[in-house]
Amino acid sequence: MAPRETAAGAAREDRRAFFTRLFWGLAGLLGALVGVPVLGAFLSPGFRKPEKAQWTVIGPADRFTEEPSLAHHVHPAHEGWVNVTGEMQVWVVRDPQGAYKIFDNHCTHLGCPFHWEAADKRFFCPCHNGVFGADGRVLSGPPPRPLDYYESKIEGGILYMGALRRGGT
Amino acid sequence: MTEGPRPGGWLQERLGGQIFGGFLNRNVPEETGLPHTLGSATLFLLVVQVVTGIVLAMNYAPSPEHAYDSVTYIMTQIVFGPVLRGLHHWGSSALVIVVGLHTLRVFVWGSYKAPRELTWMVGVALLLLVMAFAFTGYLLPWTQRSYWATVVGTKIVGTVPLIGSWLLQVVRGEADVGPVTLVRFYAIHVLLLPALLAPLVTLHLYLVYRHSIAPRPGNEAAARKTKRFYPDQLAEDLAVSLVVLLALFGLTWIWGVPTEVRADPTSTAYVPRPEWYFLFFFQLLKYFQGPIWEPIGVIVLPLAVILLLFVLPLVDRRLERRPRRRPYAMAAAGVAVAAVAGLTYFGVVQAPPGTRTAPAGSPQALVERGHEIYVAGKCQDCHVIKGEGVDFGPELTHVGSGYAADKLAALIHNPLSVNPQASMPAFDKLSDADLRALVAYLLTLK
Repeated sequence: MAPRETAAGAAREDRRAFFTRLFWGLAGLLGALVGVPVLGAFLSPGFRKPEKAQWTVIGPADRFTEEPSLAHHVHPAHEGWVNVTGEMQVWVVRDPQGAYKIFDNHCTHLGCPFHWEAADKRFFCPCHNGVFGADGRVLSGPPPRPLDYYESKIEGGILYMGALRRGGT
Repeated sequence: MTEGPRPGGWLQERLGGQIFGGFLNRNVPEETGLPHTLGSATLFLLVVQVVTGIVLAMNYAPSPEHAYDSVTYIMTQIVFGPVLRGLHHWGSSALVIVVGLHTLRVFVWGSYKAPRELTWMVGVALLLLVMAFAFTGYLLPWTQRSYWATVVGTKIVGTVPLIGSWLLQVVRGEADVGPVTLVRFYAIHVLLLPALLAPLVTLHLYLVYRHSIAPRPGNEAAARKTKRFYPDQLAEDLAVSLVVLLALFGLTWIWGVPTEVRADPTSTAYVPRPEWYFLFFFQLLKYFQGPIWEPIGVIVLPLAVILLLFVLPLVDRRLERRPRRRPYAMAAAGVAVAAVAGLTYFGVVQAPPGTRTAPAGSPQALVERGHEIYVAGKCQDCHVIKGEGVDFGPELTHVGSGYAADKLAALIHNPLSVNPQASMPAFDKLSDADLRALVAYLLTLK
């Protein structure tokens, strides 16, 4: 092969390598410039800080006994662009020591609503036969932890609920 | 030497065909240059619109009650929300411009001629699709501007002789632009049009590949010298796309998305005007009036232009591509560009959007300002005027005949000072000028 052709061939290869690098560099840059905002927005809910729970009135504290009972309350919530007020239900029980427990009414297994079976003195979740005691402890079935509960306080004889806590904490 | 990664190699082995790899590993005329990057810039902008649109759609509610608030949510609560909306907003304008230039380039260079007739016809369909995207997307933020532009834009359909009102109902889904129209436009914008776009873009690209890129006219001899599409030409394409993208970022950075007040169907002061790319048509209709001329300007002329664009390669079958040898085609293109540019210019100069019909400082301007404050302050969330609003507080349809100015002002500024039982919140943050304007507006309601 004549030297001239070899030089031309090398120049062609250089050019090819340059354009290959240029192409992939530009493709990566464009992908990042468009991809980062798009991915960031898609993952946006993951960056949001949970809203601070406010103390919500449940009712007169002496209404509740050692027998768990359902309490309804209107819960104002801000979801996305909608202001909704949802009616929520919680189980309220006063333990023998006189402390109040406010249980979230979703089973800690897969979130089914459960009910109180007065005859057997137990909370029973019909989805997968999860059973909890009146104190929220798991008695049998698949639930991985005691019932989730809300912080509570009493002011002027009125029971308030606060932030949701994981069962067992 | 190092071999870069070869897109298409792995896939080509597995797909078995030459479709993907063949598209990349082909040769194009060496003189393929900047003018040829308009098509790839169009494709890039379409991709940007699609990916930004998907995430925007995830955070948008197509109902008059929620549309505006959900857009505000995107702008305030979503990470990169303003960036995405900015890219989508400016991207639509950029798309119209780049598609227009692409079409013009292909026309001037006669690239639509045999054997690329079908490439051109699919391209015309894509051009119309882009305009349909722009028109339907415009309504979605449910602002004054988008609402009224859609009222006027759809009304144009209503001027079709005989079937106009029926057609208007089909386009709007209802007699008026309202909730049904919004969902209809949304579904068309995010479902129907993308479903048409994807196969047509694929077909267009396949045809470009099938017939190769048309060399510059009059320079066919030089076209025998070739260069590789990947990576040489593609790198140039991406460089142009990068410039376009940086321009979108720049526009988003400098101007953001213009803020607009919520759509108000009761407004009487708003001067509707479409987005700039439909302005030429809007302006054209000012010159076509009356029972005979209006349908000609509204229906016959646009349809004729679209039809002509479609059949152009079938009618103009001479193979001559050099612009100098095609004086009539060049004259037609010149007239069309001048007409669109001129009409757009006059459209911009005459009555900018949202301008008050009354001169500043006049009593009428004060009333119109008052109406804006009424809408911006969400008064209609508690009060009804002529059937519009929420029936919570007193109806205000005839409030002007029952109250004096100072009493109205006192009521708004501090309701309890006038009526101890009032449940209306005090609007004591209003400036004196705004309060005067609001009262002036209310006093016109008799």
